[in-house]
Amino acid sequence: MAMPVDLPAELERRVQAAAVARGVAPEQVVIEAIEAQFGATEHAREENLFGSLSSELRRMAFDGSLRAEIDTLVDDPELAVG
Amino acid sequence: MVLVDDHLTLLVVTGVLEPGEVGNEVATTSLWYLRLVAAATAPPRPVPGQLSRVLDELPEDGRDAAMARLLDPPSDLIEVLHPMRFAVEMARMHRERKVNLLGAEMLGAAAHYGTSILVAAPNAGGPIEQAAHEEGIRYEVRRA
Repeated sequence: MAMPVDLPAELERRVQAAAVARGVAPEQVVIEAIEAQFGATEHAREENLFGSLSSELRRMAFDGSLRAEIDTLVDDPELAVG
Repeated sequence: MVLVDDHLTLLVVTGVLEPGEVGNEVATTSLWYLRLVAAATAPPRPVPGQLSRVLDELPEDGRDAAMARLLDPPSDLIEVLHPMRFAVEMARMHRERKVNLLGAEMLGAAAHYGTSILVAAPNAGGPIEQAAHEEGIRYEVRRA
């Protein structure tokens, strides 16, 4: 099967070698590499998302400010911490 | 399993704390989770709450992702326990320990699963801790 895109010669050689070593089609090697790249990017983006919140969330959780905020919003004795 | 409060649920769900830093299996009860969701989904107020403000600082797609994580926590991070599984113990705690539904649910779950309770420092003390001691349920406080 032809590759879906033209690869530089050296890269194509490595893809072919990896495909032979694993006994799969070269296209499979390319697809897996692309999927891994997209997955890693998405994972990093998610980590960065919550990473930017981390210090603020940790501070709120332990200095009493989150407790005060939730207590204000949940004004019900059955849901009160005590 | 370890049962955690709303504060530690937030920190685990957002990845601030790794589940392994809290316990082997992390779970919370429906009413602790309700407290957290109530804060995260509160309508806008003239003076925004801290949680709302933090979420509002995110770009729109990031805010959507954060809310999705809060409203549908991955089961590999934390389990929100269904009270039907331990309703008998919950009812007993409510009747005998004179705690409110929040406390009865947590104590009932701890008794049913034979697990410990872990709360953030601002939630420590009060009727839940007292009843936990009376029931012989391990009760611990995380301070940072």
